[in-house]
Amino acid sequence: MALSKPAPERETRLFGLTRKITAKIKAKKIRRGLAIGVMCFIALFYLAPLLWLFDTSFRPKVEIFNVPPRILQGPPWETFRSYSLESFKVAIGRYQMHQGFLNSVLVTAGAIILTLLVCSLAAYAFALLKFPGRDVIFYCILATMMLPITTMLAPLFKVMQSYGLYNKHIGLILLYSTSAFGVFLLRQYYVRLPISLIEAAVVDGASKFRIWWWIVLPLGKPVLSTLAIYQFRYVWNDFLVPLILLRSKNLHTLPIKLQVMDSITIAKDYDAMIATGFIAILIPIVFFLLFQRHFLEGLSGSLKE
Amino acid sequence: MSSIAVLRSRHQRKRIRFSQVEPYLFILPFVALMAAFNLYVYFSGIRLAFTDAQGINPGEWIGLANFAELIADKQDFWPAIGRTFLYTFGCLITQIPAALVLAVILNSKIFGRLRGALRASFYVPVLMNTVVAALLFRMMFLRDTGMVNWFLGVLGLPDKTNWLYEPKLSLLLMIIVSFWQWTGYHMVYLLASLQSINPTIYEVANLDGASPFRTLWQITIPLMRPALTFVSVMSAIGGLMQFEYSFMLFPNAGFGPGMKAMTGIPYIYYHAFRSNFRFGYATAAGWILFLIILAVSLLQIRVIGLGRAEDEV
Amino acid sequence: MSRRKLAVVLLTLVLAVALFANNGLAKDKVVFWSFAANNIEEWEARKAEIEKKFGITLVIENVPETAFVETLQATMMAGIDYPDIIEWRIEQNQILDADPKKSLVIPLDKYVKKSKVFAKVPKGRVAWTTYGGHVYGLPHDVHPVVLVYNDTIWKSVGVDMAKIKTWDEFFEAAKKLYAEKKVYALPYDAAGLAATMWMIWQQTGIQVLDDKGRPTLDTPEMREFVKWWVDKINSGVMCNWDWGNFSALLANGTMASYTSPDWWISQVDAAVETGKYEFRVRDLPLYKEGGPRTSSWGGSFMAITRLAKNPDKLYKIIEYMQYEEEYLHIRYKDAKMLPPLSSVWDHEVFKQPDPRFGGQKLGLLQIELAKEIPWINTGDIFWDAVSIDFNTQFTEIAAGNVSVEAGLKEAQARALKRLK
Repeated sequence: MALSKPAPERETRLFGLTRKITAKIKAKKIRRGLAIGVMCFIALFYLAPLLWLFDTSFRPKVEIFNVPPRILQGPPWETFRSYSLESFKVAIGRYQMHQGFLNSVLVTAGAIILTLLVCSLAAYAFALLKFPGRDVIFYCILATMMLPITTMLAPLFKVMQSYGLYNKHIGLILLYSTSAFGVFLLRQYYVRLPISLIEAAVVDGASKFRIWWWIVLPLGKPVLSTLAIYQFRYVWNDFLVPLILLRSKNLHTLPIKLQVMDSITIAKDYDAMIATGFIAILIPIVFFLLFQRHFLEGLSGSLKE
Repeated sequence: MSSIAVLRSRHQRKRIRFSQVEPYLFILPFVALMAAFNLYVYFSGIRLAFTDAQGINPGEWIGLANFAELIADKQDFWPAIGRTFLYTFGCLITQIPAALVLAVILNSKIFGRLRGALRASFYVPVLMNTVVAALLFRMMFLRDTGMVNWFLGVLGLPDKTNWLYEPKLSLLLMIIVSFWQWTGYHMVYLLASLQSINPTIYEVANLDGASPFRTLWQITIPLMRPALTFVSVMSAIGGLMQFEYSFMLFPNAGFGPGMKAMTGIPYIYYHAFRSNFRFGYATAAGWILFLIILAVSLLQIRVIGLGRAEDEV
Repeated sequence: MSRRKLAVVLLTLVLAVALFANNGLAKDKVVFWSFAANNIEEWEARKAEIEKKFGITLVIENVPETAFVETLQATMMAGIDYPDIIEWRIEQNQILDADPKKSLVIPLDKYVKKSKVFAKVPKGRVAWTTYGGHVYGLPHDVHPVVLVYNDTIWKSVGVDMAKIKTWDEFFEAAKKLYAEKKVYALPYDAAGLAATMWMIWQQTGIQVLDDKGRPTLDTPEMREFVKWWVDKINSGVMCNWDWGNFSALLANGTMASYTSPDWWISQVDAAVETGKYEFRVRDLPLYKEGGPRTSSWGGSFMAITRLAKNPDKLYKIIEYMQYEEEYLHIRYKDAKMLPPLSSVWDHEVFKQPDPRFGGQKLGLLQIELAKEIPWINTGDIFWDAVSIDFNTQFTEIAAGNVSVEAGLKEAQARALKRLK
C-alpha cells in the first residue's frame, strides 16, 4: 500500500521527465532541421545564377531573356521540351568554340607540365642540395612574388614581341611557368622528405638528377597535384594576359572566345556565349567534384601544420 | 702510365667541378624563365615609363613627364585609384565577415554529412571563370529582361533600377559579383582554420557557460587571426588587381557608365590598348599601381611576419 | 664524315630552292581585315572574282571589333602578320589622325582626286573619313535611318503611327501606350551619344564642334536638347536594351518601335516570324518642324595600312571592292546595306516590295532619305575626346546626379582641357 501510492506519481513524474526530454530532443531536432533547411535554401539561392546558366545553355535564343525564367513558366518538365543543343551548334559553327576549348586545354596542360618540371627541379636544389648563395637566391625568388605581371602590360606586350612570342601559345606557356609560389610550395614539402631514402640512393651511387627523377618527384606527388590544381585554376581562367598576347582567332582560349563573341554587335549571340561559358566552367567543376580533396587542400593544406 | 694518371686526375677534377655546378643547373631553367618573363619585363618597364612611346612609334625619353601628368591628373587617374581602394574595401568588409559567419555555421556538428555538399556549393562560384561570372551577371542585371529586377518585383521592391547604366551603382555591382564569386573561397580557408582549433578549448568555454557569441568573439576570432589576416590580404591584393569585372560586366566594354567602373589595372589596359595606345604613360601608371600593391604586400609581412607568411601561403 | 657533310649541304640547298620557288610562284598575297561579320559575307562571296581580276590571293580575316585597333597596332609594331587593307568602322575609328605621320593608314588624296568613281560618293559621307583635309578611307555605305514600328500594338491603343509628325507627338502617344499596355515605345541605353539618342540628336542640327574644331557642348540649343531628352527618358517609355536581347524585345512585344539604319532592320525578322504582329516603316518623326527626317548610324570604310607595299595597286583593289557598280545591288540584296553611289540607286532591287512591312517599298524610302542625311562636324577629335567628355557627363545628368547646366558646363571644360 505504502508503495503502491507513490508509484503512479513517480510514473507520471518519470513520464513527464521523459516527455520533457523528448520535447527537448524534438525541439532540438526541429531546430536542427530548420538550420539545415535554411542553409540549404541559402545555398540554393547562392547557386541560382549558375543553375540559370546551366538551364539556359540548352534553351533556344528567344527563351534566354524570358522573364520570369522559362523554367518557372509552367511545369518544368514541360519547359524541358524546348531543350536543344542549338546554342552549342552556334558556338561551334559560328565561333569555333571547340577550337577555343582545345587551345585552352593545350595551354593549360603545357603550362602545368612545364611548371611542375621546372619548379620541382629548382625546389629540389633549394631544399636538398647545398650550394653557395642558395638562400639568397631563394629569397630573391620569393621576392618576385610581389611583381605581378599585369601592372606591366605594355612592357610585357613589347618584350613578348621582341622575343617573337607574341601570338604564340608557347609564349603563354613559358610565361605561366614562372611560378615563384610553385618553387616555394614544393621546397616547403621537399625539406620534410625522409632523408634516409635519399641517403640510401646516394650510397647506391645514384646521380642527383636521378634522385630527383626517381625519388623526389614520386614522393612529392601530393604536393605536385596541389600545385597542378593551383596552376590549372590560374591558367584555365586567366583572361588579361591572353587578351593582349593572342591575336589569331585559331589561337584564342575560351575566355578570349567569349570576349570576341561579346564584341560582336548587331546581333549578339548570347546563346553561344552561354554555351561557351557553360563549357568553360564545366571542366573546373567536374575536376573539382573528382578531386575535391586536392582542391581544398591546395587552399588550406599548409594551415594544418 | 703517366698519361693515364693525368687523364684520371683531369677526370676527377672535372667531376668535382660538375657536382659543384650541378645545383645551379637545376635551378637554371626556373631562374632563366623568371629572368626572361618577369624580371626583364619589369626592367624594360623602367625605361618605357620615361618615354612617350605610343603604339607603333617607339617614342623618346621625356623624363618624368608621364609621372607628372599622372600625379596632376585629378580627373581620371586619382579617381580610378580611389575607386580601386573603394572596391577593395567594399569587398573586404562584405566578404570576410560573411565568410567567417558561414564557416562558423558550417563548422557546427548539426550538418553532419551535408557539410561537404554545402561547402562545395559555396565554393563552386570560385571555380568559375571571372569572365563568365561577369557576363552572367550582366544578363541578370539587365533592366527589362534581367532576373534581378524580376526577383525584386516578386518581392514587391522597386524593379526598374537601371543597374548597368547608373554610374553610382557600378562599383556596387562589381562588389556584389565579387561577393558572390569569392566569399566561398575565403569560407573554405577559414573553415579549415576553424577545424584545426583544438575542440577542448570550446569544451572549457562551454563549462564556463560562455554564450556562443562570446565564444566566437573571444576565442574563435583571436585564434583565427592569422588565417583572417591572410585571407584579408589575399582578398585585398585580388581587389587591387581586379580587371575582368570592370571590363566585362558592363555593356560595350566601356568600363561602366561614364567609365565609373574604371579601376587600377583597367586604367592601364585602357590607356595602353584601347584609347590612344600610350605605352609610356600606361607603364608609368603601372609603376604607381605596383608601388601601391607592394605597400599592401609589405604591410602583410609587417602584420603577420615573413616566417609566418611563408608557412601560410 | 664527308658524306654527311654533303648530305647536309644538299638538304639545305633543296630547302632553300623549295623556299624560293614557293615564294616566286605564290601570287601576291593581300591580307584584308574586317571587323564586320555581315560585310564579310559579301567579300567571301566575291573573293574568287576579285582574286581573278587582280591576280592576287585575298586573305580575308574577321578581327573582332573590340580588339581591332589593338591588334592592328600590335602586328604593325611587330612588322609581321599585319594587314594590307582594312575595313573599319567610320564612327569612333581611333586610327585616323589629322597628321598623316600619326595615322595607321595612308592618305588617299592623290588617288581620289583622279578617281571618277569616287566623285560620285556623297560628300557628307566622305567627311567622316576626312581628317585634317586628308581623305583616308573609302566609305562602304550611307546607312539612312527609318522608324520601324509594330503597327498591331500601336493600333491597339488607337495610334496611327503613320500620321505622327514630331517626336513630341510620338512621346505623347508612347505614354498612352505604356500606360495601357505596358509596352515600351523605343529602345534606349543611357550611354550617351549612341544608338537612339545619337540618331535623334543628329536631327537637331546641333554641332559639337565649331568651324575651328573647338568643342561647343555648352550652347543653349544643346541644353535645350539634353533637357528635352532627359525628360523623355524620365517619362519611362523607353526600354533598356542590349545587343543580345534586342530581337527578343521586339518578338516578345516588349518594345513597339525603333529607329533603324539599314543594317539593323533585320532585328525585326524574328518578330515578323512569330506572325503575331504587323510591322511598318516610315521616316523619323521630326525634332522640330522643317528639320531633317532622317539621320545615320554606323558604317565602315576601307583603307590601306602604312606598312603595305604597292599602295597604287591596293587602291585599285579597294576601289573595285567598294564601288564596282555591277556588284553594288548585291550589297543591298544580301547585306541589306544601301551602297553609297547614287548612280546605282535606280536598280530594280531597290523597288521590291518588302513582305516584312506589308509590301512597303523600304528600298525607295531609304534612297529618298539617304539624300537628306544631316551633316555633322566631327573632325578628328570628336570621337576620341569630345564625345567621351559629353557621354561621361550625360550619364550623370541622366541619372539625376547633376543638373543639365552644370553637367554640360563640366563637359565643355573637360573637352577644352583635353584639347590643350
